[in-house]
Order: sequence, then structure tokens, then C-alpha cells
Amino acid sequence: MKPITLTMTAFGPYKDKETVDFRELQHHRLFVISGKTGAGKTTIFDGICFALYGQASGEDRIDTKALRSQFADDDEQSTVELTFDIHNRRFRVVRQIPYRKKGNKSDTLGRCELFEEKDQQFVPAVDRQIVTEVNDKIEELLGFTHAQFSQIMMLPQGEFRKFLTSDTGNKEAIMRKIFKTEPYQQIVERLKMKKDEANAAYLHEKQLSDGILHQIPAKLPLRDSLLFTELQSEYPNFHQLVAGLKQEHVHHETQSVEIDKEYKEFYTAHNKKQVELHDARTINEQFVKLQQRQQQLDGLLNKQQEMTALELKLQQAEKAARLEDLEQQVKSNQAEWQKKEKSYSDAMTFLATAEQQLATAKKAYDEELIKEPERNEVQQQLMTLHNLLPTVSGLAAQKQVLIGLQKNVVQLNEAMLENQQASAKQQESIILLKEEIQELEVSLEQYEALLDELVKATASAKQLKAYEQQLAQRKEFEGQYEIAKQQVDEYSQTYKVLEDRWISNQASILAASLHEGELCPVCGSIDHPNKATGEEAENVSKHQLDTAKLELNTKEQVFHKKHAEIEQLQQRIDSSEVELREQQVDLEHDYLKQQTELTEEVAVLRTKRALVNQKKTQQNQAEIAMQERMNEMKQLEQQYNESKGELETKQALYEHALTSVPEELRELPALQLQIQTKETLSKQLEQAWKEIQQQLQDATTEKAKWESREQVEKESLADMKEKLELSVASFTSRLMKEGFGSEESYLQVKLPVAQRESIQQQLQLFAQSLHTLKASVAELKQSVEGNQPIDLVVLEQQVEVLKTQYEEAFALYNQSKAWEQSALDLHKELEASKSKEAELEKTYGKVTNLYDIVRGQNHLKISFERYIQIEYLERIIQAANIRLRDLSNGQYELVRSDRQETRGKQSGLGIDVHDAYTGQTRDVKTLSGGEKFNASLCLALGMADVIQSFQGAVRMETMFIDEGFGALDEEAIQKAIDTLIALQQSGRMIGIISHIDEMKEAIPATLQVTKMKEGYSKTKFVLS
Amino acid sequence: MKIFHTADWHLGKLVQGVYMTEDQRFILQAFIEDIKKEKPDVVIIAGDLYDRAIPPTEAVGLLNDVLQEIVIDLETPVIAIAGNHDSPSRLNFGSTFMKDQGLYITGEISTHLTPVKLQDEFGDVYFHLIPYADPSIVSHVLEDDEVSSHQSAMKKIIEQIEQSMDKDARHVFVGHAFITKHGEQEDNTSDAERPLSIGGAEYVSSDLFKPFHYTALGHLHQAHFVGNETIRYSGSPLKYSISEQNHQKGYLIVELAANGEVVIDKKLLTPLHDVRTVEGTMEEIVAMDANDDYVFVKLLDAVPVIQPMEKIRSVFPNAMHVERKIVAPSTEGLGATVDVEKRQDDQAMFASFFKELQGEDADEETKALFAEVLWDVMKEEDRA
Repeated sequence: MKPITLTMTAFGPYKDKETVDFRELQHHRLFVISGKTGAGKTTIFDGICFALYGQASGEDRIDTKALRSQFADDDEQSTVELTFDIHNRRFRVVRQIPYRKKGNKSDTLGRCELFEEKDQQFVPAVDRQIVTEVNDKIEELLGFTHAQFSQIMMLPQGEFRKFLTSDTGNKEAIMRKIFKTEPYQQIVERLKMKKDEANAAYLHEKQLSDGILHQIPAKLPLRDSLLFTELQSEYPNFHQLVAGLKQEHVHHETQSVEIDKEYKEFYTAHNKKQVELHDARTINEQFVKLQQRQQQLDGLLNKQQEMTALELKLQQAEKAARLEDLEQQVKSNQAEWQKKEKSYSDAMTFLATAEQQLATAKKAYDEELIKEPERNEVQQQLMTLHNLLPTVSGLAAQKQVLIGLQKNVVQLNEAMLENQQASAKQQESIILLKEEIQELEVSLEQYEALLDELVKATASAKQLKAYEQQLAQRKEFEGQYEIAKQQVDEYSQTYKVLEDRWISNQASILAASLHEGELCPVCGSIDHPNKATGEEAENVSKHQLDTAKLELNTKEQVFHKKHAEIEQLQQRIDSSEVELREQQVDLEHDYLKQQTELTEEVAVLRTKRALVNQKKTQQNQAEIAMQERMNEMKQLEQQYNESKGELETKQALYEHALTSVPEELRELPALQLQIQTKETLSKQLEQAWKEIQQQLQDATTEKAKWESREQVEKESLADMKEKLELSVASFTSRLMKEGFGSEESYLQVKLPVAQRESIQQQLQLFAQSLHTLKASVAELKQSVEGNQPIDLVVLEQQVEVLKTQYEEAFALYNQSKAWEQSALDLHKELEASKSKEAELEKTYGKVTNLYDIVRGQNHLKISFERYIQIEYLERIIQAANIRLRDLSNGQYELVRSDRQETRGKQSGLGIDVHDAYTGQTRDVKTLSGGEKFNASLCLALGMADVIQSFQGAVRMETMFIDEGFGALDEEAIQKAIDTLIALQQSGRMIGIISHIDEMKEAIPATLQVTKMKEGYSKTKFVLS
Repeated sequence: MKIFHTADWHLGKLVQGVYMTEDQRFILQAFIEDIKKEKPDVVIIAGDLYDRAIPPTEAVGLLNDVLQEIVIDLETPVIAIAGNHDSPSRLNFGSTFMKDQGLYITGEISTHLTPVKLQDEFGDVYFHLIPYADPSIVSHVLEDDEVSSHQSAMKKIIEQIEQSMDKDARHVFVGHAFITKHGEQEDNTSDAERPLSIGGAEYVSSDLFKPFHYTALGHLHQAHFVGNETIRYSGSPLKYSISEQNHQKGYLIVELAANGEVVIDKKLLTPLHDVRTVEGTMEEIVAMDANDDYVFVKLLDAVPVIQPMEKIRSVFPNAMHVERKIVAPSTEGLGATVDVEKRQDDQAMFASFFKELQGEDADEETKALFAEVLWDVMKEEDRA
């Protein structure tokens, strides 16, 4: 980074715009900034630093708002603009400090912009001109952060000395910023998190294994064993617990085997008893069955007699059943006969009714028959009416036409009348117009005369006016003439006097040249008794005389001119007068007034003339309109006559038609109503007639039908009776044949079929049951032979006891098995958990150990970050020593101190100084002020070397050192200057703030900062 | 089909505090010139387009310019995936609609691994774009809890690809991973390659890539093949670390024949500035010919030199680094064995630190613990 120009506005002690152009240094690379205390030398550094990083150079100048000049006008915003070169590119950065204007409530915002010069133009070097982007870009370009910049390139007052003497904590912070070792610090933080996590995991696992211990009493039965003794103790031993659980497992295993055996014995016994009980139950059941069958058999035997009676009854009933058909036939014939008889009597009744109806119908028919003429008449009437229909409907239309025509005639008549009236009116108005025109024309007769008079009057007025003007002019000219005359008189008089005087002067001049005895040039006298003296008159020069003569001539010319003018004018007046007289113009008469009056009169007449013209046009129009109206009238008359003729013809026709129609039917609706009425009547009559005919026919048919029906019924009844008698006879003969004495005895034994079948079934069932029971009883008797019934209750009790016993044994076995399993599970779980716990504990130990070592809790008190920083420090010290050895004449050499810091603070970054004079090493803090400055300078330069050696982007092209040389003696200053000169030879621009005279002398270029008496400052480069 | 295979552009890379953007612009311009000349059917960029998750604006602008020229102006399709240095979602931006323009970028791994299908006169060629993804992410996306390492993640992905693979067509795999012959441990080819995971689980076996006719890889900065000629790293186009000073930088031209066989031709690119080491005493170095290369200087002077960098810059204006083995007389061993400039090898530094303070070597557990913490911190820093 090489600054080109720095412009500061309202910044620090610089009130207005202050530009430092570093190009003015020309080839000088080393320059001193000098000026009085407080003049603003450091502000130049601040300006550069602020422009680049937005922060001032020193750490005690952090508040950027305080950088604003207090001298500045309220309108001026503090701005710093820096143009600089880097990597052969030119950039310009502009920063403004936000500030609050008087009276404003909020700050005027700051600005921050970075441009790059490309082809003579400044283009933005960042995407967005915002602080963060500009800062990032500058850091990228320079390769320095602000911290690095103020440790290496710009060494602010007192600040860079910090690195030498501060404690290792401070140094660590500085080196962290410069060498970017934050990640190693973060490693420590990460490890701490890891440690905490490992601890948490360990504690969790421990809780889990404790939980397992708590489960033991719940899962295993309490007994006097190793496990429970151990659990009772205050700190149970894990191995004892494991052994105890193992023991418990073995114990419960043995127990399980024993109980299992017991259970199996009980189970077998129970099964045996169960079989025994079952057999006993079967035998007892057979005994019960035998008893039941025997009882049933006895019951059946008792019913034997009843069954025999039933069998006899059945035989009788079957005999009767053979007669049943015949009986049935008789019964059905009887029913048929009764039915026939009923239908016959019905037919008789219907026949009577039909006959009656026929009689009634015949009577009604006769009545209707008489109405025949009536019907015909109605028909006739209807026909007549129908014939009238076209006539009547035509009438209505005719009437409509007639009314139309009538209306038309009336309208035409009215129009004619109206027209007549209008034409009369028009005639009247024409006459009126004519009169008016005549009247107007009379009044217009004098118009021409007036017009002539007006012209004459106008001309006279004009002539008179000209004449008067001439008169006035003459008067004026006469005045002028008088004046000119006077003047001529005056001037001629004056001229005369002058001329006399001049002549007398000439005489005196002549006289002066006359001497007694000499000839007079004029008269030739030699005696000159009375010479003109010329004393009485003033000297009049020829020139004066000429002037007067000239003036006189002029005046005379004027006078002559005026005279000629007057005469001319008089001539004109005379001719005017002649003219006026010729035209008989009365000079006294007021022609102007007359002219005005005449003009007015003419104007009135002109209006009237226009009116006459207008009226004439009106009259013409009216006459044309009149003519048109007459034509119209004629047309109307013609139309009227035509219409009237037509009307009369039509009227006659209509009236003729009317006579052929009866008066009440002349209207169409009335006729139509009449037709409708007649039609309805005719229809009614026809309907009635038709109905009566139908009725008569129906009645006749009905009667015939019933007559034939009665005949049929009668025959069928006779047939039926015969059939019935036949069947009764046959039934009676059969009854006797079968041996029934009478019909009563037959009916006594007769049984319906269902009952007969049921008796049959009953008998069969009885026989079957009897047989089965007999066989069953015999079989059962055989099977129980030799056995006795057994007492079941005792047996059942025995089985129950055995069952309870085996069930109890089984439950016990299960319980024991469960315990055995949980002992095994607990054992496994505890062992797993404990081993995991141990593992986690180990990990936790490892992490803690690593954490402690990395963060510096070790015997050397060196963290990993610091371990890396130490390496950098070594390099810096080496680079610094090369220079320091020279500066201190080989007396001092810096060494990194291995000394541990007190109170367990982090160590390893201390710097000691090795004094070659004493051969001892001591703390750098014991160095004198000047020595410290030298050492610091060397460290800063060394640091620059180290940073450059591994940061390819870093270019150390500039260096600014603020103060510190004051503490050096002459020799030391010389050495320091030598160092700086050596530095600048490599191409660096080096700026130094110093008050030391040696410095100013040794360095030819100076940037002078002058504090003005108003309080603010100005800068100037001085090259010697 | 003619394929250009390149990778590891690392746009926005900072070497020793110097932005490489201009060098990258220069080398990519040369690359574009070759595209104009050779007219490939497709260009593959196998990951690490950017050096950081949030690259500087100049780098974004550069990539924009380069892709504009290749894809739009030269109408050459570009296939690119995210590497471990890229931000998956940022790189994925616009991938759906840029596809229509011929730019196929895949930043994030997804469940449906649809390949990009391109055609040549012999038929379809499928490109399987597998961006770099942490095994935990692959496990989540593919819903397989078995995936725990890079090896198992890649195996799972390739199995998935094989399920829907057209056996008759030709297939090219584009990936970003550390692939060794049988998944065994190997050294990185450059210090600039950031480890993919801690504890050496980053290796993937080349056996997995048998189903593909060609495997275009990124991540390792040195161009080489793994196990089989068809499984190749193109290497980075520039030297991004002094450890790469002996690499031959360039890209690969792959000719994919009708039967799926490939012929590979390596093309070299000449950089704006070479990266190399210069050794000598200050006296010797100052007498050397001036050169613009990025040089790393090893001073052989026995005594310290004042303003070494400024002196060196008079010959090598772009010198990046200077070192001289120092002997520390006052530290009695402490720090003497550590070389701070080798910041990449923090673990080695830690080992010596631990030994010095604890008096014994750190055990494996402690080392692993430290590596894990270091990984976390570095990852966090990268994100910032």
C-alpha cells in the first residue's frame, strides 16, 4: 500500500479541505512530519488509517465521531479520501463520519465507498458500497487486518511498544489477531463441550446402573444371601453384587428343579384318580338307566287293554268309510238343486223389471216423436241465420268505411275553412305592408338632397379650417419676423461699433509706426500733430470683428428667410380667400355643427331605407305564400268533392244492404249469439231424441234376454231334481246292504280320515316301543350283572385335593423359573452397564486430560494455541535481533522467555533481553525508554518480515512511525536513522513524526503541519 | 462421442493470501480455446467448481462468464456436479431450468437418480451425476441406516443406478470422491485437498465402478487412473499448492466409441504463473533471472537475513513464501521441531505438542478425539 493523496475535510484539527499529496515527495521516500504539539501530525496517520479501516490509528482514539473537527462548519460533513496504489492498481477510498447537524433529530449518515481506477476512470471496486464489503475488500487487498496494520505498517504513539512489554495474555491476543490463531482457541472451547458431554454421558450411565440395583429387591425374593447382605451395606461392591446375582441364579435354578419334580408326582396321582372316578360314574349311570327302562315298560303294559278297544273302533270306522262316497254325492246334489232353485227365482224377478222398463221407454218415445216439427223449425231458423252471417259481417266493414269517409269529408271541410281564414289574414298583412312601404318611401324622398348638402358642408368645413390654420401660421411667422428684424438691428449696431473701434485701432497701430518726420503712408505728411493713441478703445482684433460680421450675416439671412416665408404665406391666404368667396362660404357660419347634424339625419334615413328593403322582401314572400295557399285550396276543394261523392254512393249501398237484415240482428255479435242459442237448442233436441230411441232399443233387448234366461233356468231345475232323487235312492239301498240299520247308526261309527290315521299310528308306535324297551331291559340287566352302585362323593373329594396340590406346585415352579431368569438378566444388565460406565469414565478421563493439556493446564502452562504462537514469536525475535544487535552496538539481544508466569497464568510468550555486557538475561521491562523504543522498532520490523514471508499478498511498501525518537541520545538517533535509511532503500516509503532536530536535518523531506492562530491547521511539503 | 473431462477448478481459491482468480480466468480461456478447436460433444466438470461454500463475487462472475461461453456461445453441453468444497444447494440453484440450455448441474443428491441422456451417432449415452455428499446425507436421502461410510454410500448409490440401467446403452459415471484401487488408504495428491471425513473412512473402492464404461472423477488434484484405465481423475487445471509443483496440469479428452471402449488423451494447459520452489542462499537467489512465477523460496543461508521477502521480490515479484530452517537456541527443544508454516498438518503439530508436554505419544483415542474436534472447527470456519 502506497498512499498517493490524502484529503481530509473537517477532520481533527483540519477545518476545511486539506490535501496531502504524497507525489510531491518526488524521489524522497523518507520524510518527517513536523509541527507543533497538537498541530495534527498524528491526525494524518489517523486519516490514512480511518480511510482504510474506519478506525483511527491509536487505541485511545476509538470513537470515530470524536474525529470530527470542532472547527468545522455545521454544514460540512467530515470526510476522508485516500488514493493509494497497491499491486500496481490504484484505488480510492472515501469515508464520511456520521454526525448530527444542529437542530436535527437524527444523524446524517456516514458514507463508505471504494473505487478502482481503470482507464482514467474510477469504477466501484465492490458490489455494494457498504461498510462491511468495503472493509473486507480492503483487508483482502492489503492482506492486513486493522490490528496487523497498526502493529506493522503504522506504528502509533505508544501502541507498538505494547507488544514488547505487555504480559503474555495481551501478547497472545495481539498474536491471535495477527497470525489468525483463533481456530486453536476454538478447539479448546470445543474440547470443553466434549468434556461436558462425556461427563454427562458418564453420569447418565451411572444412574442407569444404580437403577438396576434398585430393581433387584423388586425382581428377586428377599432371602438371607450374599446379594441381599451386599445390598444392605452402605456402598455395595459391584463385584460382590455380580457374584451375589450369580449365586441367586444358581439357587433359583436348583429350586426350580426340585419343585418341578414334586409337581410332576402330584400330577400323575391326580390323573390316576381321575380315571377311577370316571369308571365309577359309568357304572352308576347304567344302574339308573335300567331302572328308568323298567318303569317305562311297566307303563306300556298297563295300556295294553286300551289299545285293543281302539283297534275295534278303527275296524268299524273303516267299514263306514266305504259308504262315505255315496253320502257325499247325495249331499252335493241337494246343494246343487237348492242353488238352481234360487237362480230360477232370480231370473223371474229380473224379467218382470225388464218388462216394466220397456213400457216406460215406449211411453217416453211416443212423447218425443210428437216433437218432430219443432226440431225441423229450429233447424230452418238456424239455416236462415247462417245465411245472414256474411251480410251482417259485411255490414260492419261497410259501416267502418263509411265512418272513415265521413271523417275524411269533415276533415277536408275544416281544412278548407282554415285555409280560407289564413288566406284572408295573409291578404290583410300584405295590404298593411304595402301601406308601410309607401309611407317610408315618402319620407325617403329628401334623402338625396340631404346627402348633397352634407358633402358640400364637409368640403366647406375643410376649406375653412385650412384657411384658419394659414391665418394662425401667418401670425406666428410675423412674430418670428419681428424678432429676426430686431436681432439684425442689434447685431448691425454692435458690428458697427466693433468696426469703428477696429478702424480706430488700426489708426492707432498706424499712428504708432508714425514718427515725426517720416512720411505718413496714408497721407504722406511728415508732420503728425494728432496721432491716434488708441487708448480710449479696447483692442479689437480682426478675428473678433470677423466673428461679429459672420454672426450679423447669419442673422440677416434668417431675417430674409422669414420675410420670404411671410410673403409666401400671404399669397396662399389670398388665394384661399378668393376660393372661399367663389364658393360662397360664409366665414362666420359653423359648418362643423351643420355637418354633424346632417350626418345624423342621413344616418336615420339610411336606416329607414334598409327597413323599406326589408319590408319589400317581406311583401314578396307574403305574396308567394298567398299564391301557394290558393293552390292548396283548389286541391282541397277537389279532394272534398271526390270524398263526398264516394261517401254518398257508399251510404246508398249500405242502406240497401241494411234493409235485408232484421233490425235486431244487424249487429254481428247479436247475430252470432242468436246462432249459438239456436244451435244449442237444436243440439239439445237432437240429443233427447237420440237418447229416447236408444233407451227404447235397450229396454227391448233386455226384455228378450231375460225371457230366454227364465226358460233355461226352469229346465235346469227340473233336471237337478231328478238327479237328487236318484242318488238318495242308491245311498239308502247301500246302507241296508252294509248292515247299518239306519242312517243314524252309520253316522255314529263314522270317523274322519285324519283320526283314523292317528289311531293307526298310535297303535304302531305302541307296538314298537314295547318291543324296544323289552330288548333294552334285557341288555342292561345282562351288563350290570355282578356290579353294585358306587359312592362318588368320596372319589370326587380325593381328585379335588390332588388337583389343588399339583396346581400349587406348578405356580411355585413358575415363580422360581421367573426368579431364575431375572437373576440372570440382572446379572447381565449390571455387568454390561458397569462395563459401559467404566468405558465412559475412561473416555471422560481422556477428554478431560486432552482439554487440560490443550488449554494449557500443564506443567509448562502452555496451550496449544500458544505453542503455535511461540513458533511465530521465535521467528519474530530472530528477525528483530539482527537489527537490535546493530542498534545497541551488540549489547542487547532479545530472547523468548521460558519462565513461567506467576499465579498459574499462561506462559511462554514473555520476552527477555540478553545483555552481552553482563552476560545476564533480564526482563525487557527493565530496559530504558530509548532502549525499549529501539527494541520495539526492531520487533515491528521483524514482524513485518515474518508476515511477508508467508503471506504472498502482503506488500510492505509504506511505514509510518509516530514518535519515540525523543528518548534517544545522538548516537542512538543516528543509528535509528541509519536503520530507517536502510529500510527505505528497499523501496518503502517511511513517514516519521518527530520533533528532533537531528532527524529533521538528516531527512531532507518534511511535511510541515502548521497550527494557524485561529486554531486549525494547514500542511505543506518542504523539500530541501 | 468426444468428452472433455476436467474437475477441481476451485474458483475463488486463495493461495498464501493471494486470489487466483486472474490465473483461473487465463487457464479457463485456454480451455475454451481448445473447446472451439476440438468441438467436444460434452464437457464434464467433476466437482469443486468453487473453493468455498460462499465464493467471492469475482469467482461467481468468472464461472458465469465461462459457462456462458461454453454452453450458450459454443453450444456445448456442460455436465457439472458439486464437490466437497461447493455448497450443494447453492450450486443446485437454477439446475432445473438451465437444463434446457444444455447446462446439467447437480448439487444435491436425490432419491431418484435420473441420468442425463445425450446422443451421438451410435446411440444414447447416459451420464450419472453423483455430487459429493456426506454418508449421513446419503443415508437420510436413500433411507438406509446401513450407510455409514463413503464406501457403503457409493455402493448403495451404484446399486440403485444399476436397478434401472439400460444394459445396452453406454454409461458414464461422474463423481467426486477419494477412490483407491480396493478402498485402501492412500496419501492425498495435494495439500489443497481437504479430507472428506475424519479417521480415514473417506476411501472408496474402484471395484464399484465396473458397470460404467467411463468414470469421470474429481477431488484429487493429480490426474491419474485408479485400478482400471477407465476410472480417472482429470486433476485440477492449476497448481493450488506447492505440493502440486510436479504435477502436469491439464484436462482429459475421452473418445467414447460405439462399443463403449474409451481412448483417453491428456491435454496440458500452460498457466499464467507456474508454482514452484526455489532454493538457494539469498546471494544466489538475487542473482537469478527475474520471473513472474509464484515461487516458494527455501533459503539456505546459515544466518538470518533482513527483509528476506523484499529482497526476493526484486527477482520474483510474485513470491509467495520464504522459509529458512531456524535453529532456536533459547527454547531448548520446545517448538524446535514444529514448522508452523505447515498449518495444514495440524494433527502432526498436535502430536508433537502432546508429546512434549505429556512426555509420551498420544494414544489413538486422544488422536481421534483431537481430529474430530479439529474437523468440526475447520468445517465451521469454512462455512463463515
